[in-house]
Amino acid sequence: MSGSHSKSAKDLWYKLDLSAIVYPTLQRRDFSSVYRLSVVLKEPIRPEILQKAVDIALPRFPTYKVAMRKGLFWRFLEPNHRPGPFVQEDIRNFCLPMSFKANNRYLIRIYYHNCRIALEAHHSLGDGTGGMCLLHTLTAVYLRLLGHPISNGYFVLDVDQPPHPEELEDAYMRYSNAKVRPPRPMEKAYRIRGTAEPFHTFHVIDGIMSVKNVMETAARYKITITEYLNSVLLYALLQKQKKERPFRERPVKIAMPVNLRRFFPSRTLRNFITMVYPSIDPRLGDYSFEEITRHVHNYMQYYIDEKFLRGDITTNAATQRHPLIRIVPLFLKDFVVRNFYRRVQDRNSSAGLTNMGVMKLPEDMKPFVHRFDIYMGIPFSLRTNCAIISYEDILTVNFASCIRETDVEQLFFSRLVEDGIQVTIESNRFS
Amino acid sequence: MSYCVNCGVKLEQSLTACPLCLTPVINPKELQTVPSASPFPAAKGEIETVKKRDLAIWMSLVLGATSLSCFVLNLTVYQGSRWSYPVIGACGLLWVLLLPLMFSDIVTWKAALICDATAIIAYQYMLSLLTPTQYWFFRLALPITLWTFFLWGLCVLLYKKVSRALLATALYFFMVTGLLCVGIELLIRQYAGQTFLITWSAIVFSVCFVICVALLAILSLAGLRNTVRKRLHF
Ligand SMILES: [Zn+2]
Repeated sequence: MSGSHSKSAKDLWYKLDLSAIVYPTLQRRDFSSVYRLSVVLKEPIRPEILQKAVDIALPRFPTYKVAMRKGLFWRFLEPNHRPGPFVQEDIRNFCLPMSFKANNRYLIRIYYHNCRIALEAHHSLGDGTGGMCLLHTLTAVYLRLLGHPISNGYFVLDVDQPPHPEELEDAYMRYSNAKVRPPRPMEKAYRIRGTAEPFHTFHVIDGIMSVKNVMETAARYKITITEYLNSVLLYALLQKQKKERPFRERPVKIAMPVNLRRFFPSRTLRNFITMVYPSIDPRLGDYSFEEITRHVHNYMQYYIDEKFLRGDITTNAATQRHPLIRIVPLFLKDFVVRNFYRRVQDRNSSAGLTNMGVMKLPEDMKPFVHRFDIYMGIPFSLRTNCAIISYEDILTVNFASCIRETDVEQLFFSRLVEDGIQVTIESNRFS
Repeated sequence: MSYCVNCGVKLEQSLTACPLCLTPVINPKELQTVPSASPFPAAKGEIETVKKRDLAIWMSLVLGATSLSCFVLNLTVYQGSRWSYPVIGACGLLWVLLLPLMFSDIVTWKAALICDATAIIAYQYMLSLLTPTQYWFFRLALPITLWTFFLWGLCVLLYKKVSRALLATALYFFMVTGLLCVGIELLIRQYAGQTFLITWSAIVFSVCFVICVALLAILSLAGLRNTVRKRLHF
């Protein structure tokens, strides 16, 4: 079960990794699991140079220069030799659904606007870390083409070296070796019922703040930034549920991906994440904000642990390895997976939150970069997703949704303001 | 730079209203300033449409081949009756019913509904030409088909335009079921020359009616749930 079978360069292909199997089955006309990473430089982007940089950098990432194909039992990725991908002027409603057959079958898109370079990738190619490596390397190559000497390091990979085999591996398979398969608790969570906006609409609200400012506030509660922002989102969702006076209250849960590379060393550029679900059950009583922070802190301490996570990915991998499941034709798998996702997985959380963490750049690249953004893309159901990233002293919280309501965002940022954090809002709604 | 008076967040210069609470931005000191450029581009993108014609070609080939071979068999081998006509008609009907699936990018639900109704009526008419009398078609089949499609269209329209909530969908379903049964019974009685009244459908209709009223009450009275909880707690 290795990630790729290489006989010669011509018939090279890649199996989808464990997480990537799910994303293509969820594909709809108005939904694809596409995420966006963007970097804001300090000078306007020159598209012709950026295109050259793409042409140089992309071959270094063979699992991103691919097309999605269907087999009888599974989908797979095939190297894509068609022309492209071509850089294009950015659009307002980005993170558009991505058809596997459009765009010369490329599953990535590169946009530019003023000083920003944006990379959109289908989640079946890799997670945020993998995409970020591509974006950092691309930006470094772009800056080098402009005549700036930029060294390699951190996420900037050496484009003159061939890719390391570990970068292409399905790391889940290497680490899903726990002796038990702990069951995953599933319970219907509170769901935001927003009003759908017409197709081709995508709303984002970005909150920009100072890392130092947020860190000081989180330290007041004796927790980390991730725990603090998770608590704030839980608090906002709890308040929203309370305001709606529901017939039956439900636990409020956040789906948060954990980067497994932190615990299981791998250089993979493909997916290597798993979900944890910090939650608060209002049926147990009214939680004060301090209680929420304490609860979230304890939850993270308990679950985000190497042994627990190993069990979790073993449970996941067991399904895919099961011989009976393997021989079921693809269309049946699609049908079952799609239904399971819609009925169970999607209802298992009230909102998504991801924290990419602190971006580190080689010292000589720092002066050219202003800030990073990350968007989780169009949410699967009518809700809002939140993504966090920080670089130097700028922390950005990016909310993405396709619904008209903004009360979650409002409650979230109001809480930050109440806690003494200075927030600047940017949005594509009223500007 | 302005602040939202309601949320207390700082707003980026180009924003004309707070995106969080929709409060318009009015900064008394900066009334004359020209609006600055948004950090987001103005142009909107659209997805590249990919034509999925594989299914359409495949279905057309299969149905076309079936029709043609039946027709040839009818002409050459089994010449007894015009048995191939209903088969060919059924193939055509199936093709029309599958139109929304094959051309999902062009066919709207309204067009699909009209096409389906027309195809079914045409098929019934063709069958009526093969039977000794056309009376059943004009007096029974045509009115029932029209009535069914009218109600089905109404149902879809309500679902698309009014509400897609589960309770609302249930409301449409029961409303339409009641009306459909009443219509069918009246049409059957009229066709059979019986007296113009409703019997069995009256029961269906009243059950549906009661359910509809209950659903409407739940839907319209937001406070009712609370009252029910208060009054009926045990
Ligand atoms: Zn506001």
